[in-house]
Amino acid sequence: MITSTRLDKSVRIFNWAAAVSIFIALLVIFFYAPVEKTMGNVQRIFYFHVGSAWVGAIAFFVALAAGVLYLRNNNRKWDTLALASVEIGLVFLTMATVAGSVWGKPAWNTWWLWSPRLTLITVAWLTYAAYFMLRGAIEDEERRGRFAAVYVIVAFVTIIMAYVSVRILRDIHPVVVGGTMESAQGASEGLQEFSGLDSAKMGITLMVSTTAFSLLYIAWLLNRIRLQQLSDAVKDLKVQVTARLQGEHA
Amino acid sequence: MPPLFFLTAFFQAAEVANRFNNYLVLGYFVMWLIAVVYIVSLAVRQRNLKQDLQLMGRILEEEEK
Repeated sequence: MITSTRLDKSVRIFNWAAAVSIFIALLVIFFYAPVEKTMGNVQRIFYFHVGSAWVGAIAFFVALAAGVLYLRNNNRKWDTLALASVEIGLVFLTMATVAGSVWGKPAWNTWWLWSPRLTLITVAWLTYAAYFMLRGAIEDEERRGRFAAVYVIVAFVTIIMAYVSVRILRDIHPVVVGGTMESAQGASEGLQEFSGLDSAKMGITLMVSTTAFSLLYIAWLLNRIRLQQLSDAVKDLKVQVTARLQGEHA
Repeated sequence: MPPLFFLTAFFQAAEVANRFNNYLVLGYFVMWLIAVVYIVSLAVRQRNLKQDLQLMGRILEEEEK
């Protein structure tokens, strides 16, 4: 893994970069992005909702890649990366889900609907939450790493399903990025009030917001990796102390 | 009267734009609350681990003496 001094320096740089970029994103969202005609200012939730959902999906993909690399190389650093990425991905997924629910109240007149997208997001959330239970249930470090790596690879299916669901199934949730069938959007049935990105300004704001969230993800990831290194160091010292104390009493 | 018309139109537009502002505030508040809780959890875990590290170091030092 990265040396401690280099990691500390990277953490400091990315903490500042994330804070500044989030501040810029807020300025762009509230002072540059236009007011959406149908919904008004509440549509500004969109930029953080999509940004956090997108970065959450990236985090789970990074965890998948780390899982594959762990199975290939059996190097503990990949297990640490997967663990950190899943934890942060779950935070972003929670943020996106809660923001979506709050936005859903004025948009759909309900906090929650068991539509395919929302149901699959719940399944994804529960699947990734169970990852920590799996880790907690296995004592042996190597075995835990292997099981967790396989689990994190399989779990990514839930993210793919949630992404694809609005494109192939009839859903109230709009499709923001990429082409889709009209019936999947529910547009022909008048299910959708929101018609996507209304202007280039909205697109630019979304890009700024997504970039800011990406920097926040990197900053949190580095912080979490540093925390894990610290935790491993404490565990090693505890073993040493226990061995010495036992030797003393024997 | 044209000025009055524009003023009314302006306030009506503002009313439409701001009618769900309470949800906007709630959405951003909850999102930031989750982010802050996570940052605090990272900080608390780091502080506890550093304390553990210091304690282990002290125990090992005392053992060596």
